[in-house]
Amino acid sequence: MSEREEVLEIFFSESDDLLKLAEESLLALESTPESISDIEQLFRSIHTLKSSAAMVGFMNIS
Amino acid sequence: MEKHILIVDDSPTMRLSVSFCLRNAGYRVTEASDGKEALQKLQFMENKGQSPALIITDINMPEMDGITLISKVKETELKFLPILVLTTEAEESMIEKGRAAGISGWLLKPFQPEHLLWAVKKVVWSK
Repeated sequence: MSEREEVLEIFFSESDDLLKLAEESLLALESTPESISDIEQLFRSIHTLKSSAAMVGFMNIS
Repeated sequence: MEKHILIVDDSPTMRLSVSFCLRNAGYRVTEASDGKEALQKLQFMENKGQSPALIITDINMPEMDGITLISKVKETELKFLPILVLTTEAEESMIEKGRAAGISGWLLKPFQPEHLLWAVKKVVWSK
């Protein structure tokens, strides 16, 4: 496996995790919209997805 | 002997990208996923009588953020260890916090390998 393929494999797996975290936060925020920890988790997961996508060259996602 | 660098980032994609870049340039790399784990890794190295030549850290991380990590490292015997920040954070107030905490440089993501290596060489060789 090339370095590029290895990084992409990690990126896809990380994206899955980050989208799950974002979904969890959004669902939690439906019942507790003031929850700072859920807002922070939502922000961090989308922010990380944005920067990881930029790192692998997926600028549309970023 | 190859220089040892500690990379701290909660994104596995980012850690692997930085690792490849540094390993290909001949550096030895240890990874940590947040500030808390970074402090544990530094303690582990110290117990073996080792210390890295440089820390490269993200800012926004769970458990312990980059600014807290930098402040904590500066309180230890590793206070003269160079620390580079690699982040998407470009707010001047945050960069100022980093400067006040004693960082050696502030790099933005996504990084170009040659820019990262240039910044690393500059701080590692001027030690």
